[in-house]
Amino acid sequence: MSLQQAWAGQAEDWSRWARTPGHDSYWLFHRDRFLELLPPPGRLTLDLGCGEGRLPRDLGERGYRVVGLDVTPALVDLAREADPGGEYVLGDAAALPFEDASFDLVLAFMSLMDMDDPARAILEAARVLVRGGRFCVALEHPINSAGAFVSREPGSPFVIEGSYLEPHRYANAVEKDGLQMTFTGDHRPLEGWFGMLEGAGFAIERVREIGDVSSRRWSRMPLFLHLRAVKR
Amino acid sequence: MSFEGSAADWVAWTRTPGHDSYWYHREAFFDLLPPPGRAALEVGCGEGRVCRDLAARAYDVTALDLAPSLLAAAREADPAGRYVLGDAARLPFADASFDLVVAYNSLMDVEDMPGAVAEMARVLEPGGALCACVTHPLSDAGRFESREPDASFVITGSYFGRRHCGGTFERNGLSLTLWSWCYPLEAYADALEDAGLLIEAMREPAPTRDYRGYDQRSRVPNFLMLRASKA
Repeated sequence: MSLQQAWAGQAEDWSRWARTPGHDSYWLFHRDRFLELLPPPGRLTLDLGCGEGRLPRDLGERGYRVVGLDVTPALVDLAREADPGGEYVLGDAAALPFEDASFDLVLAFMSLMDMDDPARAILEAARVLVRGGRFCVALEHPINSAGAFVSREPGSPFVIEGSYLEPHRYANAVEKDGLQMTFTGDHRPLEGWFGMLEGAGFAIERVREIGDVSSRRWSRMPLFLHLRAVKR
Repeated sequence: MSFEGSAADWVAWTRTPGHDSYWYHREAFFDLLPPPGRAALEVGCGEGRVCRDLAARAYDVTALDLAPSLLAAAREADPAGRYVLGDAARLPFADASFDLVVAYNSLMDVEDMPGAVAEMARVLEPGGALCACVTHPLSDAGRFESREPDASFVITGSYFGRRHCGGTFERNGLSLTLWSWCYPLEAYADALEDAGLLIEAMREPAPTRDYRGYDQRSRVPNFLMLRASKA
């Protein structure tokens, strides 16, 4: 099964998960940490893999003019329904339906590791950006996707049993407060992501490793990786 | 942090071909460098093996270290080389003196890592590159449970923050005590950003296959290497 098919099957679970206020890290700290990474509102922003649209809606309130793009029809429908004035496009990040240099900011918030061809998507992000434009990315941190805590105890060891360097597919089924979700994506080491950015002509100006200060376990290990890259 | 106290051990350790990880990772580092240009600086050269390897690859290198006895060993092995006694936090060079600065496993050994990176950026000309190898932040945060090829890699403490790492290493009759600082990736990236440097390339090379720890280190790498350029 492709990642695209996996996420199409998760569209309902995902929209319930994402739209329950306070339910996941987005509401608790992740949105605010990602907003810190972004340049101020400019001409036009593209959100790659917008899903049901919570990030474009929040950016719209903060003065960004955003086009949201997703490959899953049910999620694009939900995004349009929640934000009738917004601009949402059904499309593939690896073949963007936009002219060269159409945007001054491209975002990929927790979406590149869920794409079947992220290298192509990153090349496309570079193509639709103006020179000097920024590409802001949030990823599952490669250390996070390489291993796991052995228990829920605060002092639990974090263990990598397989390989950090070897890319592999993960499918984490999670149940929290009565909601279910299976997160399917591809693990790659840091070098994998930096290599794709390098190959597309990006240079990285900022790196942030995001833990959860309120968690005894995840204040010790990075959950997410944030990168801000500039097209040269 | 100076290696003055362990200089004799270090010279024996580094000059025994094949003895340590350097021999199995150096080609990955040299692949990351821009081609030889006008003037290169190596910060934290120790007894000089990286500097000698750079010179053999046609780089015009000046090398700096804080430990007089290591520098004396470097000069002895390479009488024609340029070796300078000095502190990475106060480089004795004018602004924009170099088009390449190399820091091979030395950023963990300076007391003020961000200060050293800022100095490296100062002596680089615009468009110049800083190429650094550091012990991998993931590797620094934990350890393999045993020597078995498929041993789990276990982190019991925290990945975050500045931590003191090291110990005494014994191998093939040679002994070496090393203490240095360990940082998360973000700390190195912050130092580069604050110094006005952009990361152009990053590598996490597995060692070459003849490395005795290949099975483990092709799963969790020893080193992280990067090239950053001055805008």
